[in-house]
Amino acid sequence: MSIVELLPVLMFAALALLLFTGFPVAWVLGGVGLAFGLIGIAADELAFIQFSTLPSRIFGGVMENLILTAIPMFVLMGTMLEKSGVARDLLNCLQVLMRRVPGGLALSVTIMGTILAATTGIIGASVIMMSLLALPIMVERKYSHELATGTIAASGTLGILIPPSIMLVIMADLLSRSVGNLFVAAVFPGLILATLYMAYIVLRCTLNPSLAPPISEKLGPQTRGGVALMILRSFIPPVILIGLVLGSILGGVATPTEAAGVGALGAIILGFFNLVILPSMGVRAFTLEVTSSATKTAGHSSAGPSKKFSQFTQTLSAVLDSTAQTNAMIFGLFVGATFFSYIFRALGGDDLVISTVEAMGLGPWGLLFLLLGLVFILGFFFDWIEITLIVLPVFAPIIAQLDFGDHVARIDVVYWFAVLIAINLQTSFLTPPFGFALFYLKAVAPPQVRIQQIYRGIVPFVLLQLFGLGLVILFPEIALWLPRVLLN
Amino acid sequence: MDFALGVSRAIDRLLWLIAKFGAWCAVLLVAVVTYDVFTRYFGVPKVFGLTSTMLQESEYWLHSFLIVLVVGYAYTKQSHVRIDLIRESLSERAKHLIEITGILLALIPYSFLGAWLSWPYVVRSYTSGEISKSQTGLTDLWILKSGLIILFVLIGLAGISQLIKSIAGLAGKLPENLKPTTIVGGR
Repeated sequence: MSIVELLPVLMFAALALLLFTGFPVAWVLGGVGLAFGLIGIAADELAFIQFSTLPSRIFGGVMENLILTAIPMFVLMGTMLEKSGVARDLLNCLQVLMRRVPGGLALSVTIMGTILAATTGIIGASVIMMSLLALPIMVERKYSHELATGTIAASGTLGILIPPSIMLVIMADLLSRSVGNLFVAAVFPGLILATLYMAYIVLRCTLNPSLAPPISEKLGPQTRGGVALMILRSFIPPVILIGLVLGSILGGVATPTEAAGVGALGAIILGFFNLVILPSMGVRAFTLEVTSSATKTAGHSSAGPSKKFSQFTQTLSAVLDSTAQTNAMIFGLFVGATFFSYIFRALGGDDLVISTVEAMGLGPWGLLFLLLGLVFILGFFFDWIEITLIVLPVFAPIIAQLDFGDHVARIDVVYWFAVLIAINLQTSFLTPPFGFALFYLKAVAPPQVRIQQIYRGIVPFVLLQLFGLGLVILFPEIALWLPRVLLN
Repeated sequence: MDFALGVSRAIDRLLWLIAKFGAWCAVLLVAVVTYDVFTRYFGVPKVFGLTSTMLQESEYWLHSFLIVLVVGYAYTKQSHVRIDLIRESLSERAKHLIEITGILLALIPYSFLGAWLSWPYVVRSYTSGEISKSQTGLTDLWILKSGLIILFVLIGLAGISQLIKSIAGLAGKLPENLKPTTIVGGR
């Protein structure tokens, strides 16, 4: 094999090496793509004219793409719910409702992770948000640090699987499949995992109540009316919003882009209610907040209406800035990855991958486990966005060819595969010692929470994940039944 | 060095201003999508003879500008993903050196190539009066395509600004208040 044929391998090696310098991934992708493009031209592997089709690739793949417009709107929705305090109020409300259940605080975190499903984009950001909201309270209430951190890490990463997930939008786009179908396929696997978490938490806390001391009954509204008001104020609005967004996609009434737009508008309206209307009416949110994190938040002040309105516009402006930056981060990487993959392909990378894989003679099951294993290892170091954008295009042609006979129908293989990758990736983020989500959790956890406790705490959840992954591998119908019933 | 840092500050200010317009594209995007949805599902006729195709095309126009006007700014705010594993244990000096090398060898060539290749692509679209593939869509596609040039030029500008800051950092002349947006990594 000549050095020229190995160029794609060298290209990937160079990328891997240079990523660890810590220079932004988007620019590393662009730089490596450019360098190997020039090498390819010098080695007569590439014609210069091939360079000039790059703008049309970026234009066709990123700009002229209606599906991807759903992403900034989902991010806007998630960021607005977070920054306007709607998410915090929902969590507090769940905590009060669960105060009699063993492990109630932990359960409320899992439910919150399932409902809000982390529309804030990257895993790092969603784990940080969940940790900041929930961990100080659980630590103060003398929860076992292992149980608390395990629950937060697992529930905070569940968002890449449960729709509306930005990762599923990008996966569907890269694999040329329908986003709506993939969303529907991910519903049951996601719910099964959430149920497994909750069953585990209740079981552990019933057997050993000292893990999760109950919250005092005196906290929260004491009267029936008070509880009803709290539910009406903090629980119903966001749940209706998420229900509308998901329901319209699952029911096939709206495309994900349309649902995202309506969801974003709904989140802005909810934020307006939370920051301006409700405080003006004197309806206050109940908080369980511990003293150390008791920040003076909007909605609790007794300022006049104009002050409240300006608080809202400031929040909106901060939300827009943050949304624009997250979106720019995702699509800066998207453009760099488009560039990189194009040069990789032009240098014969695709053919090399396919011929290598064929030479291994693994068969469909062997290939499936090879890919899952590869993604699992990559998940130690990278967030889903790098893995999806760089690795998926390389393997997409192989995935489409896989034939599992009677186990999975040919047309469904890609959806099944995407769901498996999503569960697998989430597991990878949680697996010590390199679990990517665990580092983020540690970074914002109170100092008395030690990394060893985080490692010990996540083990049961990793086992639950593997169990869930095994279920979906053995019974593909878990993922494929609902899309067939709802959308066909 | 003070002059150079002044240039860097001016670039950052400009990128910030441009990104403001970009960020508001997100609001317009939400408005267009919901307008399209409500008129379509409730059977209300659209104003000014707008069609759903036009609205949907303007959605990705808006999204494109939301991207191209903000990517450069996001770099000056350190919002782009980095792999922190090794970086966390590096000295400030090493981080500055990596930044300088990366900008000179990867970012600037990349942005130059991108802008240079996009130019003829946009000119071709303009001179041929290219319009949307669908009959009822939007015209003047060159405006959307010129977003590519904007994207790569703004990436280059952001790179120059960060380059100045990192060189100042290496010389020990970087003001404390600029450090977070120069080498603090992560998400």
